[in-house]
Amino acid sequence: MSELVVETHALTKRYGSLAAVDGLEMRVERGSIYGFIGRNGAGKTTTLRMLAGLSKATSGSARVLGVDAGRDQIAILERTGFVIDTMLLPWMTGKDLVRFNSGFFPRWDHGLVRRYAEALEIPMDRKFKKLSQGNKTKLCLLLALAQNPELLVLDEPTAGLDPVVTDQLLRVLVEDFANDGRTILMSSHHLSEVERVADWVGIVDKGKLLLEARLDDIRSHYRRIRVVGERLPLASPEMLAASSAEGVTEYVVSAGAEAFAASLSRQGGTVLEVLPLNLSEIFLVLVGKENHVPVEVLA
Amino acid sequence: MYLWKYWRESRIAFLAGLLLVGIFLSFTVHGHVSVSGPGGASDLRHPGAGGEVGQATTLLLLFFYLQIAPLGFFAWLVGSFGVGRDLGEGAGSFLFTRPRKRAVFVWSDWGVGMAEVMLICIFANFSIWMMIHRILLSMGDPLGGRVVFGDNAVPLSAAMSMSTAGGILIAGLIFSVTYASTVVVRHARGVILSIGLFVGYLVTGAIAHHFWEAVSFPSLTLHAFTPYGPNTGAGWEIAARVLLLLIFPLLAQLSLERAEL
Repeated sequence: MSELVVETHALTKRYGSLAAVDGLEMRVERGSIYGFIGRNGAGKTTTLRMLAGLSKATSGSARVLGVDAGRDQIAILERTGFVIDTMLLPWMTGKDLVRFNSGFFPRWDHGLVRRYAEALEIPMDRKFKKLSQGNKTKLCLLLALAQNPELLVLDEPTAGLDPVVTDQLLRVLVEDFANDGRTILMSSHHLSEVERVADWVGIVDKGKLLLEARLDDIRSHYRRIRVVGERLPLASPEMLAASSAEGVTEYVVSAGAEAFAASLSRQGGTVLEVLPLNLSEIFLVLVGKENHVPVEVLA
Repeated sequence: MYLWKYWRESRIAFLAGLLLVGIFLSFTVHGHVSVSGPGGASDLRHPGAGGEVGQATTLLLLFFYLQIAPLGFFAWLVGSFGVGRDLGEGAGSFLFTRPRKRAVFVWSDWGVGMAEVMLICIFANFSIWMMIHRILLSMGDPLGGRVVFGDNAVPLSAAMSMSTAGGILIAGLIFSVTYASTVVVRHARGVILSIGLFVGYLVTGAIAHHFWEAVSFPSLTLHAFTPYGPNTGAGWEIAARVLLLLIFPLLAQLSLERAEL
């Protein structure tokens, strides 16, 4: 089994009666790029804040790089680059921020600072508050990368960025950082970006993790099956969702699509099609308002 | 490195304060000194042998209370920098994902700020020391570097040391309360809370004393002088005021450690 760099058990964060994170069970393997996706308010940022020690869990536990979050937070912060908000000290220039930040991290790499400042075209002499949103994000990322972390935790790193800057950042993350065998955990609701760079995805909604899987597994095993027939089964271990409209029943299954389709045929159904799903479709099935009946209700 | 950040934030205020005190010092060192004779109109309190020296004592006591306003303003200004300001500007997530305990941020800020406040206080009191010293010299220094309190001749150094201690304690209190307020409010606007606390204390004290004469709130300033000289029994009071100063950064630390961002 691969080593886990992030591991949560029943992680819960409540604000009064609202559960922002509700019994989250997440596993991030070392060396992976893990796309943590969900709608606005799904609990992504709250989860990452708990990992960073900015917020305390109401119950449950989280381990980052084998260390209990909240217990020895300093050990986590020394080895992890967190970019939670793209807001640094606004009155400092990029150079000031580098000087300030370098003192905290023994493995700080000034070579990386020079390299990324040039490659990403960041005006290092300008005060942070005067930078464009794109440059602010790039500077945040530069500081996180220059500390040479084992794990990079990014909260919506491409939010509000134009496609060119987004492409620059994703290239740096994948080609420079992740190719070294280091781990990235990034939250996003831009599914196309996650699909482009991630090899693992976790889909969260209403504070619960609905799905955690390798993207390749999703591509090769997850299928949408459309069937016409009556008295068709509405529950199966591999079934993620099922919906019925105008005599056509649609299933989304996580594995064994052919066998499931065959069993539907045996039960009198006529299988119209078995289609692969992309991440966006899976996401919509699980958390979107697609016309479906949740599995729990059907079961 | 974190110390450098607070220095970067506060250095303009500190250097401006230092410059103003420096200008004042240059006047006290190079300015013209004019002293009226014994029994003259400006011989305010102390007739007799040490009468003219009494003017210097008056000046010293006047300065002791007058220093509160500029030093208090400086302390208030410097107190608005640091973690509270960073939180107000939305940089808390960045700051608190640096691998240091939150207490380190508080005590580093407080330490550098307090050092700046102390240096300005010492420098300002040194200026007055120079001024009074020159006045005494121009009088022929009849008491050998001493000033008079009542019938007592007291070394100027002892009197100025007490004045400096009093200045540091009141400016330090204003700095500590302001710094803690910005952290608790999580915004530089905590300086307003700080003013409110001081004004509230003074007004409440005045009202309480008006209705119940026996009630008298402790003074915010050190009882540095008695009619007979520097208050030699002020040791415990100084210790108590130092402890009071330390309570506020401790409150800021506790508040910050419990804060969720």
